[in-house]
Formats: sequence, structure tokens, C-alpha cells
Amino acid sequence: MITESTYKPKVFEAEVFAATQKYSRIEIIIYIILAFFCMLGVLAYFYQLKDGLIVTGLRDYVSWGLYISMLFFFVGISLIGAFISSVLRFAGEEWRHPVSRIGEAITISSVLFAGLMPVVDMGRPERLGYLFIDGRIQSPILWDIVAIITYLVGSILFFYLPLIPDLAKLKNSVSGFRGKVYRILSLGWTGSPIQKQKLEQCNKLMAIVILPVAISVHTISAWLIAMTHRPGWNSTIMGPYFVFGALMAGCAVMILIMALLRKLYRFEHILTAKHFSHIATLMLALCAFYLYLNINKYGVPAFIMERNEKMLLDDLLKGRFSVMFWSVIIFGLIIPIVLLAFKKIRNSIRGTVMISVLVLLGALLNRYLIVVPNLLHPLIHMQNAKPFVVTYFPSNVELAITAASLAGFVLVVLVLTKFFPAIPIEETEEAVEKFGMEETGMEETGATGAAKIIATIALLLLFIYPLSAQEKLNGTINLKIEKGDSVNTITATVVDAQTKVPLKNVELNFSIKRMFGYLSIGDVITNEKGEAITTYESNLPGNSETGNVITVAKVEDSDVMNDTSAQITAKSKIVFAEIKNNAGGIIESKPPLWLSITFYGVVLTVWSAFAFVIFQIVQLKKNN
Amino acid sequence: MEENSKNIDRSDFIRKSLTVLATGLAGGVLLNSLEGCNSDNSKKELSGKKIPLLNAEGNLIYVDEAHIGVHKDFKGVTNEEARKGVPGKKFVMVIDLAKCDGCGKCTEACNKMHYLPKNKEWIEVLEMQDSPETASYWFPKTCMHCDNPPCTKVCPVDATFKREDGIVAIDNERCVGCRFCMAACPYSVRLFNWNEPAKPEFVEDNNLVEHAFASKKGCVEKCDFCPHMAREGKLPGCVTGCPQNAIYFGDQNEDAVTCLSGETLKLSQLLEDRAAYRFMEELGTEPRVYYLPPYNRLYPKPEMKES
Repeated sequence: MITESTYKPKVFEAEVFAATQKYSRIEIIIYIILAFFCMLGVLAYFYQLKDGLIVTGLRDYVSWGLYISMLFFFVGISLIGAFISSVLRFAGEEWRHPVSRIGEAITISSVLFAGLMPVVDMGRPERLGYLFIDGRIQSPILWDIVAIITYLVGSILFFYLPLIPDLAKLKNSVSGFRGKVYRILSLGWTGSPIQKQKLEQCNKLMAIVILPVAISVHTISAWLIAMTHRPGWNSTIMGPYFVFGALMAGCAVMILIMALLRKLYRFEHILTAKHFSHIATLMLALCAFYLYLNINKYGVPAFIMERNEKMLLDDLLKGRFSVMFWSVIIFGLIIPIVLLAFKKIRNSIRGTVMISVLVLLGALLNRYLIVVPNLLHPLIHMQNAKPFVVTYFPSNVELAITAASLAGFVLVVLVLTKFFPAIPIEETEEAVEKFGMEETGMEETGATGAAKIIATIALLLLFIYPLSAQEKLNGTINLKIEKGDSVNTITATVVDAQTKVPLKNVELNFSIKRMFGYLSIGDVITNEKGEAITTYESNLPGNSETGNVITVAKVEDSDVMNDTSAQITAKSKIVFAEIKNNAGGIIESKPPLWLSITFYGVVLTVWSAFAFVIFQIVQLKKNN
Repeated sequence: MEENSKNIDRSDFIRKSLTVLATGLAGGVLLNSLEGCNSDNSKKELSGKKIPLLNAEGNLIYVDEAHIGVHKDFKGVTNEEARKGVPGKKFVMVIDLAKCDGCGKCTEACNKMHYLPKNKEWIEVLEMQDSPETASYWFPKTCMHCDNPPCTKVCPVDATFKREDGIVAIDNERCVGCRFCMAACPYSVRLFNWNEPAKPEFVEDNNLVEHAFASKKGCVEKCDFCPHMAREGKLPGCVTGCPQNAIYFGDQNEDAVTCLSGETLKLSQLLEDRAAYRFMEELGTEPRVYYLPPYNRLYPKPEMKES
């Protein structure tokens, strides 16, 4: 254990501070390249806005593609921040201190882009506000929006809390705009014991609250696809599958960003092989666990080989997507596991960085494989579809926007870690004092470091019935109804229009008026009394508005008698059989009570914790 | 354009031309004689007094006063009414697979009614064969208008919703284009307007939910059971387009369905006698479309290209 005497807090502080000040040439080149990709993405987006989503490779079958894959990817890597500052905190891992701010920066940046990707994917982004005005909390999309916003706010708070003492410390060393920001944001921190105690209380509360929020964000994103009737998606494993795959990808991104910042900011002595090794060990465990989840996700349906799953699995395991699929399994999981199992590789920065590239590429392809092949295998197999509809390949616009999102992500991380000290100074120093240099994983001293209107001529259709003056019976129909328990009896009496003599052998057709037509209930020939009798079930539902059943008696053969008809109306026993829905209220426009309570309850709980933390830090000034 | 104008349904035409007239000069006073042949007003005696009106071509025409009246249904339905549905109805469709010969006239009629281009099909005639040894058959697929619709469940803004008359409708003034409903629909009936749709030669600006033309860039569309027709007591386009009388439509509350020929059958009896089934019943979506198995087919079976 390295003792306090060999640790030089001033040198460490100077190193971290120096990194916020100077821009190296390579840094400027990186900024220009990232900004270029971002601009390209913005241009591509304007083009997409103008022409619509037709410019993407998306069509009616594959209606979600690269953008949604990227949503899952960004939501995924956002988990790492919460993991480092929450799980590792409770596990008592003291090496977390120097890397915690980088983790939170990754979280903020990735959650921002996770929020942006669905907007880019929207057909009508100008209606974004409807999600808040007309939002239905029954929809997983609303859950996702709320979770992403909550997580973003929580992550900003968690990024900010340990920053307060650092800003106070540096506010006098920086001038101009940054000095102003530092001064305002440091909230009059003096480092008094009460302030320290309050800050620690806030940190602890945030560490507890952020974890369920972080897990919910990713689980809800998984539910976006798991809560559908699609083969490969409709699976209960989706939540955990996403969470752990996310954490795995997060570790890879964390290692890569750490390596980048280590070089750029010259943090060789602060971010050491020990930090890389610790995260690599975590990545090893997560890769192994993710492989296990993959075996469950693909293995179990592959054993059953249900018809619809078979189509999808054939495509993945030996069809169009097999190269991609097996690449993910072999290069994204198995090889990293094997390599990381060697302590020597795990302990080298170069080794972990190279494996992280493999894991990251695997994770990106994996998100794509979760979204696209499933959409190509709907429950009703494609028929007569145009060739461009049955496949999907991202268009240049999509690729440009995706590249821009990745570049933007790195850019935001760089800006956050440049504008603010990348390493928590106060937190790390305290940890060093308490646990020593080695526990925090640091080394000794180092250098610097988005009708026209038409109408046609009206044709009046006149139906002129030819009036033929034939020797026909000229009669009238009188209807009578007799209601019974099970059947209603209709008696039609046909009499001569003038003489009122009953007419026999007239065939009458009885029918009941329905919305679009006449439901025939029988043809009856009149007897000697001129009567034709028929029945219909008395439980026949009536008209939905009036409750009436209208029975029509009509002369069947107009050659025998004049074409005449009569109708009689009777109230039905039942208006209509009530038809119930079985969806438990969530299909309705208004949410059911249980859902409202759950939803608002959870949101309120989390946000009140945030409010408490904000309240506490605003009051810090009074406690100096 | 000529083709299109001929195909405009009469009632639709009337509403449109009346809109033109009303907005032009007459203002709320409309051609009564055009209201329909069943109108008694056509027998009205001519008054001799001519009223100047502006016709669709923009020319001033003179119409006898007797032919002008206030159109009762001019306002159409409000957005609220359209969201609620036709009062007291539960629309239901029955498709007799034994009668379907796969001619595709239903699709044609539907496309005419909704002004859809050829590459969009709200009713799609599929070739089905459940297994290689069993019979192949034609299968017209519409929106199932499920009673437990997976699509409305997931809609974040209530742009697609279940109406009280059983219809699953889309409000394209509200759809944000997230396409979650497309992912959720197990029947793949939902279509997206990837680009600006070809507009028919008129503008329909009232009636947000119940128009014949429902395509809008960046929004989702699908079979809507023709509520604009049902409200007038008329059968949907596909039903009146089916020469085989294979498609029946009606009100489940009245327990009756009717096909093009006007043949009206008792729904409950028909479903029982013909062993009707609903497509993918196992999903629990509770479709409102029933199929009658292709037993004793009246027409030759489709030649299956591949299983």
C-alpha cells in the first residue's frame, strides 16, 4: 500500500486541471472530424425531413431499422454510468473514483442520443409535442419517454453532485466564461462538515434511485419489441437480455473512451491498467453471461422449432443473416471470453482495448440482428411483395445519421470531460486519503494531460319501373304480430284492395330489416283466409338505436299480384347482446386506475427523490 | 383524372360538389335534387326562379330554386363523433373462402374508394396453404378490427383507437409516425406513408377520421371498414366490389350480414352452419372478421408457387 507521503495531491489536481485547459493538436483534429460527421448527419436529416422516410431503406415490412437499433444501442451503453457510480459504490470498489465521472459523461451523452434516435425515426417529428398533450400512459412508448427523461435528469444530477467541490476548488484558477459557470455551479461550496455530510447524503440517495431507473430504461426499451406478437420478439427474456447485453456493450465503450481520454488528456498515471483490468474482468463476466442468455434466447425456440420461429431461426442460423449472427457469437462473445480469460491480456491496456472493439462491433451487430430479421419474418409470410420490400439495407441517409449519432456521442463525452474536470478531484483525493493510492488504481506522479378542387357532372339516376297493365291481383297486405316466449308470430292477411276479399295462393316473402339488407325469414303462400303465417325468434336483437325489429312482408311474384309490401314494427326483447372486450382496459383511450396509480406512483417517487436532492444542493450555501 | 372522376362515389361526389357550391356562392343552401333519387323533392314543381351558383369548373350556372335545399348531413360528423363511431353498431365482416376465386376485384374496389395507388393494398388477396398436403385457397385479408387490438394498445398518442362500433380507426391528424402499431400488428395490415401520397383531385377537409382518402405523409394507414359508407347505411367498397358475393358485412348487434347481391344472412346461424373461424384466434386479438372455411369450393384452387 502506498502511503499518503508518496501521494502528491497537488500534482494530481494539477494534472486533472491541466487537461481541462490545453488543447493538443490531435484533440483539435478529432473535434474537426467528429464535427464533420455531425454536420453530415444534420444535412442528411434535413434531406429526410424534406422527402420523408422514403429516403431510408425502411419499408412496410421492415418499418424499424438502423435508427431503432441505435436507440437500443445508446440506451444500452448508458447503463454503465449508473453501474459504476451505484453498484460499484455499494460493492465498495474504490477504484471507481477516478473513472466515475467518465462513466456519468458516457451516460449523459448516450441517453441524449437514445432520446434523439426515435425522433429521427418519427414520420412526423413536428408532432413530438402530441406525446405530451395526447400521451397515453398505456403505451410502452410513453414509459420509455418518461424513463429516458428521468434517467437523463438523474444522470445529470449524479454527474453534477461530485462536481460541486471540484468546481469550488478550480473556480479561482479559471477565468472568463468558464470561471463564471464554475462559480455559479459551485453553489458557494466551502467544504464545511455539514456541506460534506449533505452532499454524501445526496450521493447515497442518488446511488439508490438511479439503479432502478437505469434498469427500467433498458427494460422498457426491450418491451417496445417484446410486447408484440412477433416471432423472436415476443419473449419474456427480452428485458434481462437487453440489460445485460447493454452492460456488456457499456463496458466496451467505457474502456474505449477511457483509452481515448487517457491518451488525449495524458492521464497515464490516473487511468491505469488496473482500471482497464477491473472493467475488463467485469466485461468477461458479462460476455459469458450474455452468451448464456443468447443460448436461452435462441436455443430454447430452436429446440421447439415452432413454425414461425423456425423461419426466423433458419434465416439467422443458416440463412441470410448467418454470417452476421455467427460473427456476433464467435467474434463478439466467444473470442472475447477466451482472450479475457488470460490474465495477461486482461491486464494490458492494449489487449482490453482491442477486445473492447470486438465486443462493441458485436454489440452493434447484435442490436441490428434483434430488430431487422424479426421484421422480415411476420406471422403472415410475405407474398407478392416487391423485391425492395422483402429485404432491408440501410440507405446512405441512415448510415450518415447513424455515423453522426456515434460521432455526436463521442463529441458530447469529450466536451463534458473537457469543460469539466474529467476525473473527480475531491472524491478521488478523499478515497486516496482513506484507502491509499493502490485501491483507487492510480499510479504516482505524471506529466500533463439531429387540391386542387374538381367535380363532374351530376347524373341523376332515375329508376323508372316499367308499369305494365296486366291482369293481376290487386291486393293489400295487413300485418299482425303476436309475441310469444320463444317465437313471435307474424300473420299477414292479403285482401283485395277494393272488395276486401281474402286472396289465396299469394306467395309472400317475410324478412327482417337489418342495417345493410333484409334477413329473409321465409316464403309463405296464403291460405283460403288469405293468411300467411311465419315466425321469428323473439330474442332476435332489435335496431341498436330504437330497439325495434321491423318485419317486412312482400309479394314474392309480382306477376301474380301487384308489387306491394307491408311492414310491422315490434320492440325486441333485447336490443343487442353486449359484446365485451377482454383487454383489461388498456386498449381504451383512458388508462385504467391501476395503471395510473402505478405509473404516476413510480414517477412521483423517483422525481421526489430528485427534488429532494436538488433542494439539498440549493441549500448548500446556507451550510458553509 | 377522367378515370378518377368517374369512380367517385355519388354520395362522395355530392358532398364534394356541395362543399364547392356552399363555399362559392350559395352558402349553406344546396342542390336538393342531388341529394339522392329517393328524395321527394325531385317531384317538386319548378318555381321558375333561377339562382346563380358556381359550379366545379368555376362557371356560373343557374339552378331552379326548387332544386335547392339545405343538406341535412352537410356538416358530416364531428371529430368526436368519428372517434366514438356509429352509435349502437358493432360492425362485423364474414368472408366466405369457398366463394373466393382470387380475382382481386375487392382490392380494386377498395383502392378506388380510398384513392390508393397500385402498390398499396388495404385488402390483400393471399394464397394460403396450411401444409403441403392440404388444400390451397384464396384468402382476402383486411384489417381484422380486433376487439383486443395490439395496435391501439401501443399507440402513444391515441391516434389509432377502438371505436364503440368495433372499428379500429386512425386519426391521421394526430399520428406521430412512430410505427409501433405496425410492429405490434400480427396481421401486417398497417401501411406507412413513406413519402407524400398521391392526392385525389379534391380536398376533403372535414371529418378527420372518416374520410375516404386517409393517406398522409409520415402517418400510418390501413383498412377502415369504410365508416363513411356505413354511416350512410352503405356497404364497404370491397363488399360491393366482390362479384362472387364472398364478402359479407353487417352489424353484429343486429345479428345479420349482407353481401353485394343483398343476400342477408343471420350472422350467428352462418357462423355456426359454416364452422366459421377467426384468423390466428390463438393470439387472443379477437378479430371482427370471420372466415368460412373453403369447403366445397365453388372456384378452382390457386396454384401454389411455393409453400
